[in-house]
Amino acid sequence: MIEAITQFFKQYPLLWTFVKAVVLASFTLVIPLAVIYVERKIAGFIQSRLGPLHVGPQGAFQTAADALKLLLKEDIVPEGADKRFFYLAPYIAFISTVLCFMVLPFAPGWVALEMNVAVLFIIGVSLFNVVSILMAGWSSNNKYSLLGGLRAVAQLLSYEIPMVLSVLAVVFYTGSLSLTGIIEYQVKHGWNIWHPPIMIAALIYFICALAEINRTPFDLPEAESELVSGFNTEYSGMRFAFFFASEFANNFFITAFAAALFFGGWDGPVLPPIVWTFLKVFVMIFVFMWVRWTPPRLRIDQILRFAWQLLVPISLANLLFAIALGVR
Amino acid sequence: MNQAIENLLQRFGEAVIEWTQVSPNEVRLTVSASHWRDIAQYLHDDPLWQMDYPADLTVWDTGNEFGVYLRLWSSVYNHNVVVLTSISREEARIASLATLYPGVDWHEREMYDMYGVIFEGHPNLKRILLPDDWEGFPFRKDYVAEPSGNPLHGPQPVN
Amino acid sequence: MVINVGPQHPSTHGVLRLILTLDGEQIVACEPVIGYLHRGLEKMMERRPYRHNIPFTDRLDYLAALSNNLGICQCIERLGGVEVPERAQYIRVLLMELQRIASHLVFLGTFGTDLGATTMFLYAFREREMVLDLLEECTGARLTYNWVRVGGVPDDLPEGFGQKVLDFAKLFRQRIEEYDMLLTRNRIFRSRTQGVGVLPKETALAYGCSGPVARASGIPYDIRKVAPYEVYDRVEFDVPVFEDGDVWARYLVRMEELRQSLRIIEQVLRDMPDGPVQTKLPKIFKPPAGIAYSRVESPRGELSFMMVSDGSPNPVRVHIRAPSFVNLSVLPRLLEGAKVADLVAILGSIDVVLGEIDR
Repeated sequence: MIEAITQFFKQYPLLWTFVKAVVLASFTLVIPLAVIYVERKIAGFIQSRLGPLHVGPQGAFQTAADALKLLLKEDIVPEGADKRFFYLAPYIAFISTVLCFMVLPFAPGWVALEMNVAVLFIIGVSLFNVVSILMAGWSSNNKYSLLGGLRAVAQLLSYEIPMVLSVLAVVFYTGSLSLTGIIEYQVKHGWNIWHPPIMIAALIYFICALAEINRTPFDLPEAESELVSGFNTEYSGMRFAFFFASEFANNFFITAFAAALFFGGWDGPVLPPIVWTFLKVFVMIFVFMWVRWTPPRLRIDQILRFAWQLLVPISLANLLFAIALGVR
Repeated sequence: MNQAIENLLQRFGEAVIEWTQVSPNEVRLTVSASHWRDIAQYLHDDPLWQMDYPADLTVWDTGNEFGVYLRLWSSVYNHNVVVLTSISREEARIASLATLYPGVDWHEREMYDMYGVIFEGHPNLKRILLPDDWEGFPFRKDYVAEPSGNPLHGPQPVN
Repeated sequence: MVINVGPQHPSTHGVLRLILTLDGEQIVACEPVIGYLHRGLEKMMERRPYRHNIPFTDRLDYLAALSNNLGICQCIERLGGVEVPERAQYIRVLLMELQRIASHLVFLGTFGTDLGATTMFLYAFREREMVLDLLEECTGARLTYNWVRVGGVPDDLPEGFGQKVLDFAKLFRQRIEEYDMLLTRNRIFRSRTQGVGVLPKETALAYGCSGPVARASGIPYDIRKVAPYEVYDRVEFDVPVFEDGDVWARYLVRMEELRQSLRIIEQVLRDMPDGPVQTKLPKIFKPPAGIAYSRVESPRGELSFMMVSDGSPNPVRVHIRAPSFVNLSVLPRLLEGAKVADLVAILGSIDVVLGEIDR
């Protein structure tokens, strides 16, 4: 039966890609529900309270109910907003996340688009996220949103550089630009995280990932207490939901990417590969949330100084180190 | 303290209408309004007083005149001084101390707001708690609270 | 760029509005706009007999209602020459210090939230809940206590109250250690607060700042020591004073005051004598004509009531010197040249309550 369906689609590759894209887009919409629920429960655990409790068993359907509420809300566009950009921004954020998922291998063969330059592709499309934040902040015609948008661009661009450098360290070390290739290398030679230059790269990646997904201590672009949630202040209803969904899907993606780069992707004993991928992702998401709910927020100049004076030089040196060790 | 009071009485003579030492470290002076600023300046500068901390300033309305109350503290000697004076209700003017003690700036603005007392020489004498277009001075004893006199309106946009 | 912070903003702790002139992220000028909560309490008090005014004071500094109750009662007592029984004085001090802990915990929690450490908020409110439970057991209310009376307190402490307070004090000492681990020793927290919003000693004096704001700038101005009231001269405690005058110092002052309040509470419970808790007063209370003022060290600073009497049952004038009102007036000076992100840290460290600013 499944064979027959696959055979049918194999005859029409375009249609097949389309189906995969639709499946991934829905996945991108559904995974935030899980991540947000997990986040609420973990936040509750860390803050010595209970978290959602009443909708469904242990409040499991709370986020679904919230999503439904967002769908039903009125779509408000502020007066004086630049309407085209205002409408477009959430979708660009969402699409950039979906595109990232397209090249991510969940298990052997479980990848929507096998691409031999997947790493470069991911770096490229994830930058669209920055564009969407700037568009949202600028077009809202709100000074707080504008400040949030500008902060976001300064921060994301600054942290993109050490992040890319640390990813490149992995690329040079394993000699592959394809995520599948990187994972297969690790299946053979052991996880990258155990190799010294990659260890440093993983640490830098972790810090930059926190900044990339706007988490405390780097959550300035949406600093609740200063900028009243920054670039998405003026958004409501469905458009806000898209921003929110893409943020949490990004959270999931950035950890899955890290799992593929440093922790051997689907590699692991006994359990099926797909389970290993999700296990690694959720362990890392837990660490992310642990960090998020503990320290306070930094200031924009401190953040930028940290990126340019510390992370960039270290990751550059580390890249040379990785190249020297990786050349065989 | 005694020496300081003596110096003050010598310096200002008639301007200090009355004085009582309430406790070993507190004195209460009643002065004439025309010397208000000079006496405050003296208390602030004189090495035996050094009243460098403006604790409080307020006005009250007896129905016949306005009383003015100023309380100072010295961080050097831990002395308290209460200075009182009175001004007429019709010509409600007194010298401002805001340039001498920046801390009384907002107190003076509030008293202008509530009693309409003009503090001469205040750098920024405008309403502070009430809206800028409020009619009348509500803490005066003869103020008639009439909703129609000051209708409610929404917030004013800024730039 | 002119930006309007408030009156509805998560970090202004009430309906405070600041008109900021920005140059990028730098603050050039700041103009506070207050009065959104103005109720004319001072005028309302002129129309009522002296003792009917006590419930109004709960609505001034709603985070430390007991300090306000005490302030007005002391003022009326001085005006009328009323003596307070010794046990009542001890009870007053005990309640004041519990109130100070509750108020400082609100500061800790909201300050943490302002800086992005949301967890601190829930930790601080967990302990504040315990204090409020204690105060509720004693006074029957959790926010607007209305528990101090002219000439004493309305009723004695409930049975077993002292032991409960001591148990809380023991637990709370450990919890302060937890706060230290979460905030005080956090590098990010330090880099956000140290050297930010420096208030020099001379400025603090000239502006009449009081409470933790003054003590963080090196002025040892604590009414409990400078002009002891009730039985504060019989208990031993230190007044924390720091020289730096920055946000960090203001935070440290309050943290240390939490510990000192526990010390006071334990001594008060140890020394408290038996006896009546209230002086008998006539039904219609007419103090002699005159002017009186009282000073109380509220959690925010010097809270002073000033009353003018003409011998009739109603006061001629009640003036409230609200510590937040004076401390806020120094804000434009503190914000010159600061960053927008520092605004919330600086404003949070002054710890204003709009209820007493607007009165």
